[in-house]
Amino acid sequence: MKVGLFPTCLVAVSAPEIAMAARSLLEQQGHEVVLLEAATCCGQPAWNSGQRDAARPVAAASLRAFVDADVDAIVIPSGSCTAMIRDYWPHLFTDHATEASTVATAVDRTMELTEFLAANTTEPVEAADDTDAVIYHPSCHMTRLLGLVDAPLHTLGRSGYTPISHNATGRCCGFGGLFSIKFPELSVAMADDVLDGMVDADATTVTGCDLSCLLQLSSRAKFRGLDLSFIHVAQLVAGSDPAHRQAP
Amino acid sequence: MTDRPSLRARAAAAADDGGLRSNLHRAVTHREARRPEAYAELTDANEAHGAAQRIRLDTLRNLPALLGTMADNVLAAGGYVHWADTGDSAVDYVESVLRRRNATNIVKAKSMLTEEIHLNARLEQAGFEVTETDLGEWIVQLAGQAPSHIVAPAVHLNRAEIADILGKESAEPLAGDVTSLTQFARSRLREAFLDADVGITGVNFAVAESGAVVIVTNEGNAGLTIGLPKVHIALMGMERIVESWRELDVMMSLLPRAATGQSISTYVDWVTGARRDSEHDGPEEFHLVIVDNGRSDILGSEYDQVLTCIRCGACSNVCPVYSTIGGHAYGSVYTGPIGAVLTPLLSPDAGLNDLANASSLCGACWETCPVGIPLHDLLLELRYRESAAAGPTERAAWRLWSTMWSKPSRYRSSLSTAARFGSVSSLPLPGPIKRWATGRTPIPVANKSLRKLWKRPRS
Repeated sequence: MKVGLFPTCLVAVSAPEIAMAARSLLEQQGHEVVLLEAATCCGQPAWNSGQRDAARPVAAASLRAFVDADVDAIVIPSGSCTAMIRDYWPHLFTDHATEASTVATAVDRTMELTEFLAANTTEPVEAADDTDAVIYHPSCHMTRLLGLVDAPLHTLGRSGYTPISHNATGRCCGFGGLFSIKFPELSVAMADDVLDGMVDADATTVTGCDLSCLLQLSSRAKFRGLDLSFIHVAQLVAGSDPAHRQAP
Repeated sequence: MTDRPSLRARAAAAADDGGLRSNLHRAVTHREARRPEAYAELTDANEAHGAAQRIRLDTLRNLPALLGTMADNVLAAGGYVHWADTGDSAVDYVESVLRRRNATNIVKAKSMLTEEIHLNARLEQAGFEVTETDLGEWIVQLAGQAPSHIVAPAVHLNRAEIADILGKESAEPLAGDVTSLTQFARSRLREAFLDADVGITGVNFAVAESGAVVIVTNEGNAGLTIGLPKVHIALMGMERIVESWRELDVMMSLLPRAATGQSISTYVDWVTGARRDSEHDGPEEFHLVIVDNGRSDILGSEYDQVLTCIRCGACSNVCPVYSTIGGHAYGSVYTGPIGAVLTPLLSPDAGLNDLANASSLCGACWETCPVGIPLHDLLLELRYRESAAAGPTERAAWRLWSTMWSKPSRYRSSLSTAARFGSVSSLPLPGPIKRWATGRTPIPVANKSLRKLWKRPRS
């Protein structure tokens, strides 16, 4: 299959190696992967702030890149950006004829990374004898908006990782985009609730499908000097050097 | 109103209040722990939520007819009906009944609607003695506070704090154990019931087909409020109605489960009209006050699903914001996610429209809501509504961002700039990015561009 990778703005800015890891996972499955260079951002920062007129041209630029790419699927290493596209792009372009005519096709081809990986494998989960325990942070949009609960666990399990939960699993990390800077003290307190749960868990590596949540948690964990390391699922599964795990 | 600290400051202060957070944590954990068991008794919880959602949406579509039937049946049962367009109209009507009956002492069962219309303050100003009879509500009344949770008004207080509040009411020293405290409350409230001229309650559900109002409590205080005084005044939000007992059955299978993790509340009282000649007890007069107070403006708007809310408070219990800061930081009558949606809709002039921002949009509220209200989406709609009120600086910042990131070439150059400076602060992102530094290390910025990495030959 020919796959277009939409890296997302945050990955492009902060951790391009996540896109590289996603690429190698997709190539391992035998897909041809192209980088959707002309796609910028899904528009979520503005959309979540109620600034729909600001969000629309940005999302439209990315939509155009999706439409122009000659690919069978568009894969995104982020649950939150995928949710923005799948749940909210149709709404964003309702009264805009040009985009409204193409958005459904583009949305139908768009998948979150582990969702795509799980959907395109027929291999069963290997029951590895020797598995590494990792704390899996289910991000909110991934879990609740996209309903993607099993796909990341499947991806982790196939690579010999046992995802473990803790007593704050399922709680929001407190990022919420601009929420994290509009209400920094509250945002940090919310991160602490999740981090305290993680500290009590029987693992020190934290993984997840959204860089945004991992950055929120790792930035707070580092500030507190906690013994936790954070790595995006794509990097973990692609076998990144553990030395790179400190900064997702 | 203008001297209220900012929402950020209120949230920060509450998040920093260790005592409050531990009280909230204990209460919320307790509530949440009971819920799965109560839900497990249902054959299919999702199906039940779906059925409840359909009932509530149908109710909104048929609201005028249902309210008409309800009013007819209340009148037929010897009751009175007052239609209150506004909160003031409702309060004026209540006051007129009290005056006509020469009432001085009033007992009340907990009602968020009466909080919404500030009934107590108005009645007390007019010289009436009002006693809240729900234990938690009585405690916050004595403390001069507002309820901090839709269902559990005193959830922000622990036992020692409650002992202090009740101790001030007691002529004799009061032991701090639960039994002594509740015994004290019981004896004091029992006197209030016996002295009361009028009882005022809210309404959990009105049943249109029979004109009954249903009131749910765990303390039995609504039964005494309804049954002992000579007059009962029930106030209902105009949307709190079901067509028949069949729909009530579905709603009652969920309300206590969602609210407190109970299969059924300890008491479910329902009352139809005033006492009939053949009956031994009940009020001589029954008044139903049907309150609009902004609801008909919501009906038919993009927000109207919020009117399907049954005030179970489950959204607050699962909300990571609410469980971190509690209800008082919201500054509104209705708190938690439902409060963040309702307040800017019911009271757009209260200076609290920024409550729509008090959410990370995690969707936990929507997931738990027994009637499936997409609260996160309603918050997004409100943020859109409020975006028109953004200041010129903020709007200019968004325009700049939009211009920069809607062209791939400009987007790429903004990323290169960020990489050169090694900081996200140089990105054209609106918002006070420097506040990220509050308790967090900086967001790393890659010094290699993804395009270059991608093109690099691989081994």
